[in-house]
Amino acid sequence: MRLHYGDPQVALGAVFGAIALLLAAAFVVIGTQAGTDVSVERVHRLGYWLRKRWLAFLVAVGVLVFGISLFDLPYPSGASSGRTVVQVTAGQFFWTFAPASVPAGTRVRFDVTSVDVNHGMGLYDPHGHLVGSVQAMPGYHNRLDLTLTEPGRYEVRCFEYCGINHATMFGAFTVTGR
Amino acid sequence: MSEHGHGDASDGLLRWLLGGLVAGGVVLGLLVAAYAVGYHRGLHHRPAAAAPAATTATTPAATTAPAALGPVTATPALVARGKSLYGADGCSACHSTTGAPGAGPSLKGVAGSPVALADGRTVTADDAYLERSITAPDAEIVKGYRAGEMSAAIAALDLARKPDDVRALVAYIKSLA
Amino acid sequence: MEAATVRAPAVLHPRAAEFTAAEGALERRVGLLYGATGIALVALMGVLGLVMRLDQGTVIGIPAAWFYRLMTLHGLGMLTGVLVAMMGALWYVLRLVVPLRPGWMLAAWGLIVAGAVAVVVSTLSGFAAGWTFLPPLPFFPAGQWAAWTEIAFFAGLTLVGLGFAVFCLDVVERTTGTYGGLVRTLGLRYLLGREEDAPPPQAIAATVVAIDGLVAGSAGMTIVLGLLGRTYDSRVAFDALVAKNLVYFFGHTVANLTIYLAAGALYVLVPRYAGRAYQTTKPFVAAWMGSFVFILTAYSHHLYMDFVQPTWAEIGSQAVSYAALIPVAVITIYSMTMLVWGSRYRWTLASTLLYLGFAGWAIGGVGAVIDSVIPINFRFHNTVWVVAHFHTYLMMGVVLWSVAFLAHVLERAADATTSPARRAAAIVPVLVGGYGLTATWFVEGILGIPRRYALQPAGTSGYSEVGAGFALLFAVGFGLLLLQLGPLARAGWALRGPLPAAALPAPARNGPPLATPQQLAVAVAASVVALAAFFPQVVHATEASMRYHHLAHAAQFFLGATLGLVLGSLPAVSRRLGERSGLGFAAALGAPTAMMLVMTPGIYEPLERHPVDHFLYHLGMAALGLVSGLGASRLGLVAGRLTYVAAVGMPVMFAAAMKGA
Repeated sequence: MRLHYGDPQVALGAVFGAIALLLAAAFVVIGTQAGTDVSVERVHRLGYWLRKRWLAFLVAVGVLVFGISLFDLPYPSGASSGRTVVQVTAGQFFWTFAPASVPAGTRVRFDVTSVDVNHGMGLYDPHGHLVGSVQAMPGYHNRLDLTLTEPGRYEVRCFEYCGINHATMFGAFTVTGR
Repeated sequence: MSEHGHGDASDGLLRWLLGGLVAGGVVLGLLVAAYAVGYHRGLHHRPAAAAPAATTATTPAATTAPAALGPVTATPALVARGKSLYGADGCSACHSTTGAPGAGPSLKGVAGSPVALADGRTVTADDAYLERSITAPDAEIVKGYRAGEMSAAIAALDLARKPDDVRALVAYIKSLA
Repeated sequence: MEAATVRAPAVLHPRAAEFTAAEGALERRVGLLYGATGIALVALMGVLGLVMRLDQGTVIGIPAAWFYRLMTLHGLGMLTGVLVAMMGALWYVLRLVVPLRPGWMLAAWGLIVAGAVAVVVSTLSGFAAGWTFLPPLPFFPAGQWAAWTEIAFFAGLTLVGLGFAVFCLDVVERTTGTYGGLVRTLGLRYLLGREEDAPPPQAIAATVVAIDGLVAGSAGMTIVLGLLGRTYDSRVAFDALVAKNLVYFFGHTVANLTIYLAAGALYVLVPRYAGRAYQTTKPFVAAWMGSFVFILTAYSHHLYMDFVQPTWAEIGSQAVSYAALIPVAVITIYSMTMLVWGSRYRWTLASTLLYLGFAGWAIGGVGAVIDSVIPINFRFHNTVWVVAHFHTYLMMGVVLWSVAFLAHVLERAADATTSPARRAAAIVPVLVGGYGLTATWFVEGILGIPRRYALQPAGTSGYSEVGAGFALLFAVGFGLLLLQLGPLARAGWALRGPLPAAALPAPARNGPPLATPQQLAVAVAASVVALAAFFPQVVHATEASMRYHHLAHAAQFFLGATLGLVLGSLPAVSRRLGERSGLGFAAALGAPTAMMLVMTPGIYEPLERHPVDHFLYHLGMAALGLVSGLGASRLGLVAGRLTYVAAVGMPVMFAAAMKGA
C-alpha cells in the first residue's frame, strides 16, 4: 500500500517549516549584521530587553502546548469494559491479530505484545496515512485504545528496529463495513 | 579542613569512628528487633487465618485479606473481561486452562470441585475460595505447591484493591469447565 | 586566570588580545590529537552514511545485512567521533584555567580508540543490533551475527565508556580543586549572592557535563555488563522496560552531552572572533543548574510509545524536554548571537563554522521539541522525522563545530585562515547539501516512513534518491573543508616555535573522599547497618525473587565499598597508599564490573545450593566492594565520591534490570 500524507502531520510539518525558515532568517540577519560595529552597551540594552520577552514568550508557548497535549494523550485509561480487545502479537518477523477484523465504529483496545524482541506497531489507515504507533515489548502488554470508523484494510509496519527483516514485516487488520 | 596537631586529630578521629560503630550497631539492633517483633506477630496471626471453616464465605484474618465479594454472576461480558485479564495479568504464565500442570495448579474444571490443601484439609472451590485464592493466595495453599510464590508474582498487580477485576477472573475460571 | 601578555594572533579579533590566554604546546597537541581523531571518525562514518542513503534510494544495492551493519557502525562511530572532538575542544579551553592532567587525557584517548576498533570489528563482522542495542535484540540475531561479535561490541562500548569516565573524573576533580569545592565551582555561591566572583563559563559547563556524563555512563555500563553476562549465560533475562530505560538514559544523555561539551568550548572560542569577552552571570549559572537536571531527566521521551512506562514519567519527561530548551534558547544561543551582533566579527574558517553550528542546533532543537509533544510523538515516533531532527543538530551542529575546533587550533598555529572564496566554495555545498538532506528526511517523516528501513516503502525511494543527492553535495563540501585544513596545518608547522606555556600550579590535593571524622563516622555506621544483608533471615527472604536477591548482593557490595572508602580515607592509610589514581580508577570501576559479570545464574546457582559456598559468594561481593572503595579513595575528594556513588549504584541498577529466568 502506498503511503500518503496525513493531515495532522502535514500541518505540523508546515508549522515546523515556518519556524525553521524564521530561525534561518534570523541567523542570516544576525550574520550579516555581525560585520558592523555596534557598541556593547547598545547590544546589551537591546539584547536584555528582548531576552526577557523572549523567555516569557517561550514559557507561555510551552505551558500552552503542554496543557493542550494533556487532552490528547494516547495512553489507555480505565478498564477494557465495552471495548473489543484485539490481541496483537509481534515477533521476528510477523504480526498476528486476534481477532483479525472488527466492524467499523467499534471501540477497540489493541493489546500489543511481543514474543521475542521489541517491535513497534505502526498502523496505517486504508488511504495510507499513518494513524500512529505503539511499541510491542516482550513480557509487557501495551494497550492502545482507538475507534476505527473507516472500513478497509489497515496496514501495519514495524516501528522498532528488530533485525534483518524489520522493513518487510507487514501485517494487516481489517475493519469491515457496518 | 584546618590542620590539627597529630595527637588531637587521631584522638578525635578514633572517637568518631567508635561513635559511628556504636550508632550503626544501634540502628542494626533496632532493625533486628523490628524484624523479630514482626515475625512473632506473624506467627500469632497465621493460625487465626486458617481457623474458620473454609467452605463458607466468611472473612479471613483481618490483617491482610479484604472482605469477601460474595457470589459472582458470570455474564458473557464478565467472562470475556476475565479472559482478557487472565492474559494481561500473566496468569497463563503459571496456570494452564487445559489440565496440564505448571508452576501453579491447572484451572480447568476447578470451579465447584474439591481441592486438597497443603495443610491437609479438603475444601470446595466455590466463588469465595476462588476470590481468596487471587486476593490472598497464601491463606490456602494447594497441596504440592509452596507459599509465597504466587503472592510474590502478583504483588505488583494489587488485585486485593480491584474487586471488579477479581470478579471477572473468577467468572472466567468458572467458565473453564 | 589572567591573560598572558602575548599579542593574540592576527587571525583572531583585534580586541581578543585583552582576554585571550596564550595556549601552550600541550593544549595544542592534545587538541590536534582529539580533533583529528574525531574528524577522521566522522569522515569515515560519513562515507557509510552516504552508502546507506544511496542504498535506500536504490542507486546502489547492498544486502540488507550490510545495511544494518553499517547503520550500527555509523551511529556509534559518529557519536564517538563527535564525542572525541568535543572532549578535545572542552579540554583545550578548560586547560587555560584548570591544570588538567594530560596523562589522563591520553589514557582516555587510548581507551576510546581501542573501544572504537572493537566496535568496528564487531559490526563489520556482522553485529547489527543498531547503536542502541535495545535488549534483547542483540541475542536474537535471526542468523545474522555470531555470539563473539556481541561480546566484541559490548567490550568496545565498555572501553569507550571508560575512556569518557576517565575524562569526566579528571575534569571534575581538577576543576573543583581549582575553584574550591563542588558547590563553589558550580557557581551556586555566586548565584545566591554569597560571593562576588564566579568560575569562568567553561569551568561550570565542564563540571556539569562531567557529573552528568558519569551518571549516564554508569547506567550504560550496567546494562552493557548485563548484556555481556548474557553472552555466556543464556539464563540471564532482562526486564524489557527497565532495560529500555537504562539504554535510553545512557544513550540519550551521552549523545546530548556532546552538544553541551561543545557549548563549553563555544563560550571561549566565539569571543575570540567577536572580540567581546563572555563572562559568567547569574542567569548563566541558573541556566546551567537547570540544564544539570534537565539533561538527566529528559530521556523518557524515548519511551513515549511504551505505554507501560508510568504515565508520570512520560508527562514529566515532556515537561523536562520543553524546559531543556530554555537554557539553550535564552542563554547559550541567545548570548552567543548577542556577542556576535555588531561585533565586527572576524570571519575565518573556524569562526564561520562556529556560527553556522548555532543554526543547526536551533533548528534541530525545534524539531526535537515538536517531537517531544506526546500526541505528536504518537504520529512521529520512530519515523524518519527522528532521523531528520537529530541529524540537524548533530550533522549541522556538532560536526561543524568539530571541524571548527580543529580549524581554530590550526588557524592559531598558522596565524592565518583560508581565503573567503575557498571557504564559500566549501560552505555553500555543506549548507545546501546538509539542510537539503535533513529536509528530505523531515518530509519523509511527515509521510510516515518508518526509520531504520533498508528497503523503503513502495514508491518512496525517490525521496531517498533526492536525499542521497544532497548527501553527496554535503560530502563534496565537507571534503573541501578538510582540504583547506591541509595548508593551514603546513603553515602552522612552518611557523612552529617554542610556545609560551603558562604552567598552571597544581591545586592543593583535595584529599580523600571522606574528609572529616564526622563523614568517616557516618560511613562506618552505614557499613554496620549493611551487615543486615548477611543475616540468613534476610538472605532467605530475598530469595523470593531474583530482583530482591540481586539487591541483597548490592547491599553486600555496598558494605564492602563503604568500608573500603573509610579505610582508604583514614589519614594514615591514605598516606601509605599514595596517589595511585590509575590503579585506583581501575580498582574502583573494575570491581563492580567483575561483580556484575559473576552475577549470572550459571555461576551463582551452583554456589547457592551449599550454605557455606553461598556465604562465601556473598563475602566475595563484599570483598569486591572493599577493593572498589579503596580504589575510589585514591581519586580525590569529588571524583572519589562520584566514583563511589557510581560503583555502589551500578549493582542496584543491575538488580532492577534483571528478571527471573
